[in-house]
Amino acid sequence: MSAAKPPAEIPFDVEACIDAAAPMLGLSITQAQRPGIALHLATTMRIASVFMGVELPDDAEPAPVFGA
Amino acid sequence: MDALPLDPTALTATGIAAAVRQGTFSARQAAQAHLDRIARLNPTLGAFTDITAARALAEADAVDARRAAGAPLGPLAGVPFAVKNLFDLQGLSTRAGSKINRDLPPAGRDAFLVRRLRAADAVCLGALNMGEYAYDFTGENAHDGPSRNPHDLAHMSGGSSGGSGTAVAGGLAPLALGSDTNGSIRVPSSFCGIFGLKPTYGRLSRMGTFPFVASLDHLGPFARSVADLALAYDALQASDPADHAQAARPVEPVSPSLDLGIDRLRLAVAGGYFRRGGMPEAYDTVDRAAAALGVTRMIDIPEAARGRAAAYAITTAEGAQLHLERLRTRADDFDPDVRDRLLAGVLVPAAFVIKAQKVRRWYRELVLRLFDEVDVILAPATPCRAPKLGQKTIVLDGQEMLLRPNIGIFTQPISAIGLPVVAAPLWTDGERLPLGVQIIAPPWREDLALRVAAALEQAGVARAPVAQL
Repeated sequence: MSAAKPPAEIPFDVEACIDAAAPMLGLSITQAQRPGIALHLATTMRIASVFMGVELPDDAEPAPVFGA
Repeated sequence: MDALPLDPTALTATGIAAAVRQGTFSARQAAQAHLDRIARLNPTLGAFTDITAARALAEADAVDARRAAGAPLGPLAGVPFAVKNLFDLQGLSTRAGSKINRDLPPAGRDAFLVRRLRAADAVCLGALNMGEYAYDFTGENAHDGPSRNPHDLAHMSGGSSGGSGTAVAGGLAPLALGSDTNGSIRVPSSFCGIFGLKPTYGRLSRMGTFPFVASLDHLGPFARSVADLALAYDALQASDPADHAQAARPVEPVSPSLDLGIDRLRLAVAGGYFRRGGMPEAYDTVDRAAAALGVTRMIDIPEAARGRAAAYAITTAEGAQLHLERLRTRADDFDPDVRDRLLAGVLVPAAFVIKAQKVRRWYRELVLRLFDEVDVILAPATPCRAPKLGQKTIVLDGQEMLLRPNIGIFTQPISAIGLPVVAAPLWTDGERLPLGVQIIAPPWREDLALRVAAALEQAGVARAPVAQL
């Protein structure tokens, strides 16, 4: 396994994501909901920047449990 | 009812089972004493959302009838218990803290773990308040009101198993079940001053419970003594092919090894990440536990921040996907705070979530190597004592930040990789509210975490008194 890079800001346009993805998911976002959604999405992206810099080999396996 | 020689609501589960077995009081008297206390205190405490009084008395009568007939009794004979309201109870809609789920048909049978406690002759008092859909660390609920901290009613019980914490600390039940995805057993244990066990991921069946994040969901018990936790955990262990995430492990009873002591165990305090971002009292709590146990070693849990971040992203996206259809059709029926987090979660790109699952596995391998050197690790359970109800932000390390996501900064890196943990409560002179220490063991070694907790309890350092109400 490789070492991790320091956290880096992820270029992610929260407002554009809401505008583009919400209709694709069949969601109608109201003006009352939008500030909270933008806040939480921005928080998630900031936290994601903590782990997105980890360099892993191409054969790194994800963690979920699945039994065939 | 005539006065009983002992007040059942002041006893531990172990004490109640012994008293019922010896005939000091009956199972019905134990159940009635708890129902009376619930009737008196629940309107203030907000612990129970459903009180199954008729069921409890019928189950208690069945225990008493078997005792009268000379039949053998289970290890939890006549012990009243209650469950977070995401557990199915036959005849009740499993509300999972929500308004929406109240429209579900009543459950046709009890959850698997409820059936396990019933098989041990425990008696079900009802269902307990919780944060909506378990997405919560506060114990507040927009629909049912908050479950309050019995040791200071103006403060949070902690979430999301808030009602479980309130009920056990308030003497409304000696034993409760809850769930823990990122800290929801350990946070209420820390805030309410009780013992909680989050077993290894995959240890106990989750069948018959409403999920939050399948990748991270655990179930476990709360109690006011370590022996009670062990007794309940032993009763809960059983194979259930219906839970595909349950590991193929034999039943491994922990009660027999509880008093083996810690002389041969290698203990350490978690440093680095676990010494930042909290209030001084969080570290003082761990240091007092360490001093009582003679622990001088400090180790770094590597990459805990990245492990926690991965769990955060997985929770956000996977927890939200569960509710996509309800968000489309009934958005206004959610608690607005929870709704906005869920709406944000469904918008998180898959690339982030899959990377988070890979980082989680990478982090797990780093942490498991630590257990070549140590057997048990101590860390704070929460960064602070229970905040006040309604509080939205918290100042940690001089920075004001949102309260809800940050109460779990010390629990989330541990459940992210499914390690078993006992939360043990410590008290400080002059403070009304406790703070918990996490006792973290390698996978499948719940016995080690419980042995250390028992040592702290026997030393008088950790304790879980019934709140004076």
